[in-house]
Amino acid sequence: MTRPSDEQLRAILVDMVGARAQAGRLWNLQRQGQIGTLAPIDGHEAVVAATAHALDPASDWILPQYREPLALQRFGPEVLDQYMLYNIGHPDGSRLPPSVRVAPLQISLATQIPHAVGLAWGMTLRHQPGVTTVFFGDGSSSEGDFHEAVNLAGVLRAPVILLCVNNQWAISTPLHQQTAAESLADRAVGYGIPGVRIDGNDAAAVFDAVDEARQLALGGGGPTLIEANVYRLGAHTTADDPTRYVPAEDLRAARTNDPVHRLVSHLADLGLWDDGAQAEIEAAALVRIDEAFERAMARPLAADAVFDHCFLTDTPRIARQRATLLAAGPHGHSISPRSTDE
Amino acid sequence: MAFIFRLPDIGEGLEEAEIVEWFVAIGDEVLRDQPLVEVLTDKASSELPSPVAGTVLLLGADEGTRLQVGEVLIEIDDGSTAPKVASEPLSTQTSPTKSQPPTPLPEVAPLTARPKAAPATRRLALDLGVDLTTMIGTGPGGRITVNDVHAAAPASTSTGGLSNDDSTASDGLGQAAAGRHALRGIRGVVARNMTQAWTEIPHIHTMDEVDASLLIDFRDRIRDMDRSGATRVSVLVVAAVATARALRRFPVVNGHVDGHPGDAMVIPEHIHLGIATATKRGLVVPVVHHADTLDLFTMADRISSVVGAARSDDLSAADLSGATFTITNYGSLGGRFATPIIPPGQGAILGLGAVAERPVAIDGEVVARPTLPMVLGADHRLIDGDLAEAFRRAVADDLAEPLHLLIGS
Repeated sequence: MTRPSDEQLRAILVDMVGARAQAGRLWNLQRQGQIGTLAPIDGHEAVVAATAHALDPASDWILPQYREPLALQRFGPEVLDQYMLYNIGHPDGSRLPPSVRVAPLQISLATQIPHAVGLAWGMTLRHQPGVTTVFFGDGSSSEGDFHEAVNLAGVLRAPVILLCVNNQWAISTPLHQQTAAESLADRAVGYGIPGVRIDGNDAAAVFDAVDEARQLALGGGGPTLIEANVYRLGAHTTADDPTRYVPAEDLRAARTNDPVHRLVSHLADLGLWDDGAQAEIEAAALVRIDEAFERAMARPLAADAVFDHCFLTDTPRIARQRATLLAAGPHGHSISPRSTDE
Repeated sequence: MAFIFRLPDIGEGLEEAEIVEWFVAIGDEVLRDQPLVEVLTDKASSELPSPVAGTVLLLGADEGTRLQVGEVLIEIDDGSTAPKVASEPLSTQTSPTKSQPPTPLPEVAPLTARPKAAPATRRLALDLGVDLTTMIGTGPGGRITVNDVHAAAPASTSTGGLSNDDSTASDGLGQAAAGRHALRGIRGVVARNMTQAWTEIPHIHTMDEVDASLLIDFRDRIRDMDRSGATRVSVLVVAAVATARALRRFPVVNGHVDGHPGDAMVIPEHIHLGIATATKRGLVVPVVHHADTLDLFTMADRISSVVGAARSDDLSAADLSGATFTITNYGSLGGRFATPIIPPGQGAILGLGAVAERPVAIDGEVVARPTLPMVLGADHRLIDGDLAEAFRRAVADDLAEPLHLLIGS
């Protein structure tokens, strides 16, 4: 059992509070038409930030799903830059960043799990230290990719931490319609690997579970399936209206267990946190996201970049479309997210 | 100079939104991220925050009107020197607008003579016998849309059914200028739902009149009670309590047929009553959840609260969803019998006519008695005549003698 130190807990909370503040700004940017559809992090802050702090950014990999980046600050500022590029629809947002060990987002459910197992197995074959942690949701745990990848991970004893963030909702499908199982962690038994179920709103519990899984993986003990229970505190995405299906009383109850409020209250009791500190941290986080947004908007983008990343050489249809777009003249450049009017 | 904020596509592929409420006026100073306006899209109602700080110069549309994605929502003087515009990011760049696309896609001469249309649109054209090669579409760059194909089809395939139970008591009832009007907002929802219900559900109706003497006496005596909410107890409220009791007795009437043409019968765990309500915007059916757990006074409170919210357009999506059975009190507008249409996703509907003194034969004598006409509309796939009549009679018995409400069902 590895309890995070008070200093570690405070560092985790700094990232959580920053993520929460940035999530508000991100939502506004979307509502202002400046960025595309995105999945808010609200309710996932503790499980993501505490996981990042239990890992070593110099040797360990994180493969996110699509809700995590704002709380992955510990792995480097490039994570936020990549995320903002992604959010404005720039193809560079989907590249593997050269300098940080955080993969691009995956929108196709569960596809990152086989990637993670492959990456972890590759690290073993190359005798590289470190573990791979992959985030996915309760909905993804019903996908074939999950079962195939976790089974293979067990067979290979791949150094991978399978982190299922169970936020009780797969878009509008509640957990009880997702599975008849009492716990998603129980599935680990069938793959011959350890499975643990933790309170994902408890940053210390997350840190402890991830640390233990990491030590096991580093020692050659193979994968661990962690089910971290949280509650999605907002919309599934900016294109979703959860008031249509999330019972108001359930959401109210979940808000009393808000991971940010819990850790704030714990650290405030220890005299390690106060409103002034929080305001400063929020302000700094907002500056960081504004700057990352500005950098993303300033990133050059070829008018025909949209055609660049599907095929090595253009198919006849793509070639025709690329030529048509380029022939369109100056308007062809008006794709830039912040274009001047007319 | 003005920062021009155009209506963004805040969902995935939205085309337009209705301006529900402006939070700012021309001349107001606004901060960045300050909420400017509430808009209603096909998906949800959302607040749009300001992209910049500055002074409001122009509001692009009046409350209650609709804007196409890409049209000017608001102009704000942010002190900058060149006109700027918040436009959509690459990933959601779809702005098909019939009238003046704001950042027009380039007019591109087609490289081939192939009509521009999506595969699904081509398929529809084939089905409807529409020749796409002769058409110019209204979509971006002349792309032919599904609507274009429908418009060009020999016989219009658009639907626009008006039902008989959506009359409103509002101002402007039945008023509209000559011409063709798209059915939008609530009108469009009602049209779609009623068409679906009328074409999918084989309706049967059973109707009768209940002697309402004791019911009216019961209601009046409760209203005289010195108790909060007593004055809100109405015939509708008593009928709702009686209906919830009867639904508990006959769960099938609370159920519905799922799938088309009907693969399964679904019996819900709970009883949630929809209360059909005429509003200025059209027919709205707010829901009283867990109706079978409510006593008379709570039922009166809940109905009064959701109907009030429906009329002031203050309902949440949850208030509008989940009904398992609907009551339409068409009698509040007058009328004796009607044949109400069952909402999609439900199996039956209760209609209440106007209470009035009518001749009734009692022991060979014709006497004047207040009577309540009532109708049960039922989905015949689920409910036969015997069950429909048994259910209607169960409600009628409680209304004819409200003391039944004291006795466990």
